[in-house]
Amino acid sequence: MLFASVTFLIFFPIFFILYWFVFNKSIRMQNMFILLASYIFYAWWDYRFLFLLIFSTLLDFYTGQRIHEAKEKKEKKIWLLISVLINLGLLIYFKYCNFFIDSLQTAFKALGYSSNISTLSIVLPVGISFYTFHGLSYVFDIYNDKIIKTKTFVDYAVFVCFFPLLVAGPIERANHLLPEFQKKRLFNYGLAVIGMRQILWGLFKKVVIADNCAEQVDAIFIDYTSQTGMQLFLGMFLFHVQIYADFSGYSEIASGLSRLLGFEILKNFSYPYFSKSIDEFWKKWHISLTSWFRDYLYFPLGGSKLGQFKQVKNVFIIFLISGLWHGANWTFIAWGLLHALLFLPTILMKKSINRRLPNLFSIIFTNLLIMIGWLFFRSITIDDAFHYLYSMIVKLSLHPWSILLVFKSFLIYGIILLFLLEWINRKQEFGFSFLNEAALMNNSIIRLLLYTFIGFLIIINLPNSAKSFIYFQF
Amino acid sequence: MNLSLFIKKSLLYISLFIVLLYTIQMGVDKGLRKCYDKEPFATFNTVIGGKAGSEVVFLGSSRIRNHIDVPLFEKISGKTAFNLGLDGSNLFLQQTIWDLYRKNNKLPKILFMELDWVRLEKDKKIFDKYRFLPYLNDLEVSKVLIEINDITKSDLYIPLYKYRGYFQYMWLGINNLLLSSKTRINKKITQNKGFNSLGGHLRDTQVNLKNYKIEARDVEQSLAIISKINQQLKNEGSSLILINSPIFKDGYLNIMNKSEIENKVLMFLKKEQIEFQNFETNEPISFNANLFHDVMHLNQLGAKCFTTLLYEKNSKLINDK
Repeated sequence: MLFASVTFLIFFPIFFILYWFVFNKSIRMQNMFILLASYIFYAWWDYRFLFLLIFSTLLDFYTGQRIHEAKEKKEKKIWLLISVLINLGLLIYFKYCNFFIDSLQTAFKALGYSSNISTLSIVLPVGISFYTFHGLSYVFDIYNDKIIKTKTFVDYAVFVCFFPLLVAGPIERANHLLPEFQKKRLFNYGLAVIGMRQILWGLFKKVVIADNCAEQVDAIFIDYTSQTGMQLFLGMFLFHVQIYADFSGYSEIASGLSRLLGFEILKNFSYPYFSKSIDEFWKKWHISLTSWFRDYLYFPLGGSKLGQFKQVKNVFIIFLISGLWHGANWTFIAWGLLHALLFLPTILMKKSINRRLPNLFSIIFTNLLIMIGWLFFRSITIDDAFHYLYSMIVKLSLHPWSILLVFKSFLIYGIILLFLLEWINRKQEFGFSFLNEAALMNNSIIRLLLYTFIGFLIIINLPNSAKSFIYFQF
Repeated sequence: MNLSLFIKKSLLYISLFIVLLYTIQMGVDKGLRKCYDKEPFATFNTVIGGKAGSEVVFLGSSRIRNHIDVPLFEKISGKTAFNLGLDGSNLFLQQTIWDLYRKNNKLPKILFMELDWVRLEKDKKIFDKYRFLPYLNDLEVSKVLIEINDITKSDLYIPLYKYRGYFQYMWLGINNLLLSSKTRINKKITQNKGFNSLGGHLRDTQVNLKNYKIEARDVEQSLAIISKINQQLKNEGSSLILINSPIFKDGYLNIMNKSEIENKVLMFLKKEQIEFQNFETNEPISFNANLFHDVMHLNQLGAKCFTTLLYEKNSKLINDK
């Protein structure tokens, strides 16, 4: 079920009413109801993978119990290892199996051998990377004594399967969200209003900006060899906008929905494109994944405490794994590697390369670097990415007419509106936060008109068939 | 208490929002239904507005719309005529516009209807779907579009949802609603005859119909439509003539089951006693590249030649009616 779909438009209000009016008698009933709704939400895509989700939940719940009850450190370690191996085993099988087979075949071919290994027809279960990481955070936190085991399976399962976060995060931490499921929930009017605004803002980002960018990006990337330099630059820029609007839009909606149900979830984006350096960007982009890697991988590897060489090595490991987490393709690894390289000056010189530039130039320069990274992320092969980049540079002409053509599209005004509102609100939580602050917005008529305008834009921009969020594939 | 207030306020706002969207949708629909100068709405509006009634009517796809020069036909025959050709339409959509015509206009004395092998297939997607959006309230239109499966219930019931992605037509509708004066509209109605002439000359001499197979089930359903229309005309003493207009000589490629389809159709026509005039490989039209816009479509000059040819072949019948 997609957030920007008619099905969800029917599903959520029914869920909301039942959640607050029928199942509000006890925490247990509410949790069971969320779990049931989450399973329906997930099964809407493919009910077969529901069993995988339930298996993964059971596995982590059981190993969590065993780790908690184990007296010896060694026993704890064994149960942790079992959980990690099975979780990652499933992830590798579903997500990376064909990638490894393909890569092996290529390697054999390069060495002059022929191989008979053929790829398997495996469908990637939606959200597997997200719920696997949810589950792992639970066992890690129990192992590190940051939380105690949950008493009931439902409490744990609802943490892993909570439908607003189930398929594209934010990747929640057991020590943050689990306690919320064990507390009585009270409806908070102010929080719910902010939640509604967040949903509206998220839908605007997804439907009006990201989906419209996607159409143009797809058309440019599919036939990039015949495009002009300006069109190639536009394609790269629009993908830069698309991936941000799509993913942060999803996160806003997820956060808004959670607030309507009385939960506060982790913040996933903090205006990353206003960053003045790559290291700042990584503090603001997909925060839940970055902090997950930091806490469960970077720190255990030693972080920055074991000298500069080890720190560089650890940063490279994190970025390579982060790249691979995004998808089973060398392009994602190249993207991770590029960001690791861009991160190097920060480690070696203890400052970023563009620190001396004025703010605006720093932001533009950082965005250009990020855009080049996205080029690898979006291309089918690394060759394509290099070829795209080369063609763009060679063919680029800054003819004023070709630049003016860009402004013929309505989309560009939507993008300007998006970043303008986000810039105004960069110190606030999200792009619509000014509604709480600006004096003008105290007038309810003006607020209603604004909601109506955004709602109108969303309705007339809905795609013919609901489009998935980019991060569903990860 | 807070929760009730939240729900009440949300419901109130959502209701107002829905009313506003419905109002805009009604405005856009109305504006587009008043549009007589911009195709594809102009022909539809003339038909629905009851201003298309003629003695001779032509029904088909773009190969009727672009091929029958109605003003010329009226001039040489002395009869009133109207072109109901609908770009990219199969027989299922042609039936829709025919039903709308019948509902709002007097029945013609003669109906020339296209019989093209390719059009016997039920398309999975509707060509230029936006053409039908202002008319979704008409059962004749929505029924067939839902059947083809390219229009959903959401299009019918969620306000403005049907216009998603078609901002320019929403704008056209609003513009028309606010700016069109009655006299301007009336002038345009009388000018519209449904014909659209194509310019240019033939460039590509082949159309890619390689490995194209027409489903037998679709053919049977299409023939049932022809049979129904024939019956309607017969009951009123009117005539139906099926025509297949010219195609450039090298254009017709590889419909894998063409002979099978052809046999089936010819048997049907014999049984129903319907006249079929096949101009598909007509000499000299099919051999003259100067008469074609592309392999499937005649240009302006080609349309004049074909209209004259069609009149000459049927002049006796036309004059007798």
